[in-house]
Amino acid sequence: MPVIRDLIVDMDAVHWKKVQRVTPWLINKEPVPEREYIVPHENMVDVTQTMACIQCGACVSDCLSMEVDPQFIGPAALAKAYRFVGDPRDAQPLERLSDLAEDPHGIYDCTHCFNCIDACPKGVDPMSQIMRLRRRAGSDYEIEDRNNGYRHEHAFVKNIRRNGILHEPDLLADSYGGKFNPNAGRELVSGLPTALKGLSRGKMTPKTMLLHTHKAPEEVRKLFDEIDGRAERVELNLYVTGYEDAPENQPEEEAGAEGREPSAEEPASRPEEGQ
Amino acid sequence: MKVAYWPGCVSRGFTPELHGSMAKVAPLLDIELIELDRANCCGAGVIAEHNQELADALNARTFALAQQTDGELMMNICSTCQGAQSECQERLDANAEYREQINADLAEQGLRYEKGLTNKNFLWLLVEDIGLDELRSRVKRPLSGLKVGPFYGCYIVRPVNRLGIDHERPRDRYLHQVIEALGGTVIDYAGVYKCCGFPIITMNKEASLTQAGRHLGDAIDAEADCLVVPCPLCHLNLDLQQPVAARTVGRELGLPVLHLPQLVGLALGLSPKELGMNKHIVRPTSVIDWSTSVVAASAG
Repeated sequence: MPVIRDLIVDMDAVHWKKVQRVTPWLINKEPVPEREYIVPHENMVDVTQTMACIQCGACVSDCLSMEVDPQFIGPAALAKAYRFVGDPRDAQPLERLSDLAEDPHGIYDCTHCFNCIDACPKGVDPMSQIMRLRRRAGSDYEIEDRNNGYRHEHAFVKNIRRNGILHEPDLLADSYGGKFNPNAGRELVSGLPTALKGLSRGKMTPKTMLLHTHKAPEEVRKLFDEIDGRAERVELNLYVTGYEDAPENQPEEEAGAEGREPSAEEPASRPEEGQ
Repeated sequence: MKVAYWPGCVSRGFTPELHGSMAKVAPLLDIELIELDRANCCGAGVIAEHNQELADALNARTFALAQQTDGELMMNICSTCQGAQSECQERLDANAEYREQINADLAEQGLRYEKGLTNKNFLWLLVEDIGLDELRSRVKRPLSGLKVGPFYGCYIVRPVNRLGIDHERPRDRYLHQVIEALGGTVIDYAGVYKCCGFPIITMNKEASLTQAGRHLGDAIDAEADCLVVPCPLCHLNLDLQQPVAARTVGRELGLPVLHLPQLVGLALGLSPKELGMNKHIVRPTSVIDWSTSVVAASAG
């Protein structure tokens, strides 16, 4: 963020502008109830982590993607976006996700560098919230964006399901929509000099380009089909459930339940509320 | 020492010289590699963004296979594997009920993950289990005068808590320490702990290669002769894509990038060819005399 003086940065120019970009308020479902919305507790727990954000902007200053692409919506604003996408009272999760997936500087611009996780003083894990947005967009709503985010993720998953380990030549083509997709053709042609150089140096050989040689593909495939085939996705959020080795979860506290941290009471795993 | 060895996917795919050089270096350090050839891809964070439980189960499967061997611990040679596997292991180790649920899926394959596996990147094992003094004593050809820029990447240094980085185990200084133990000179530059950009290369190529190009440029400006990386995915963006990255940032680059086992192997007396350096896109001819295998800084 631009420095105004000493340790004062211009939060308006970057941070708040980005937060405004993600429609940071609840869009009511109609009809609006006469009194308050009644939401089951467990449906709100999922967004408590992003609600812990104090808008300090530390993650924005540290984001390595924003360093090269200042238009990237960035970690704080995307964490804020999940606060509403994950809120069962919001009326427009699909519209929000489509907007964030289609933006060329949206959810697929994050490189998983973890800098925002270490920068955050409140344990919000902005990057984990971005991954939640991607799970919602890609797996729940199947939003096929123009940035190849959806296609790349699905190509990767398909690739590992089929091969057990990554088979890069297939992944490249499939990430752009398959070998016969015009986009793939364009990308593959533009990547041809790189590929040819790799071939000429022996990095890739015709054998490694064509053969898939994993020793236990069936076992891996079974896991995929079993878990991916479930009606509800299971997600463990350690911010919510805590750690079994943490001092507050040690056996002494058997005597009385009162005064215990609510986190210790949470179920071990909780289905992410589906659509 | 005997280790359950997970080479990862890319070290057997587009960077075969990494897996090859590790196999050559291991016996020189008395490391016996028990290769986990039935294990699976770690998911590289991408499977977790699709279905977290699936990523956890896949890695629990790999951990269970490692626990079936008589290796002292599990070792990997890919930072991305280290990071993705540590993230899954954190969830598996944090919650008994969740662990049992995943183990129920593995039971059909006769596998079971027991909490508390030790999984270390080769870099960590080198410093913590072999030791810098031992490493120093085995050096046959010190990298005297070679100016090496460490490039840690992301997955092996962040988040610090999950990866167990603290004053006792300053894992974010290990590349520095290894370069010095091998007789080389460490070059500090702006990109030491930054991201290579690889994970978004199919989504935003320009942002991806701008990251790679900038870090390479910064290292050149700091007068590095080469970079060393503990991650083959970083190597893809920094070496395989370097000519394209150079066009993206609009400057000449041409900086050799070595895998960690290659740098170690050079100092332990192996030849550049044995270490597969002829497979690199940016050939390390500027730093290595191919006829004598002697490392000569800035020879080119």
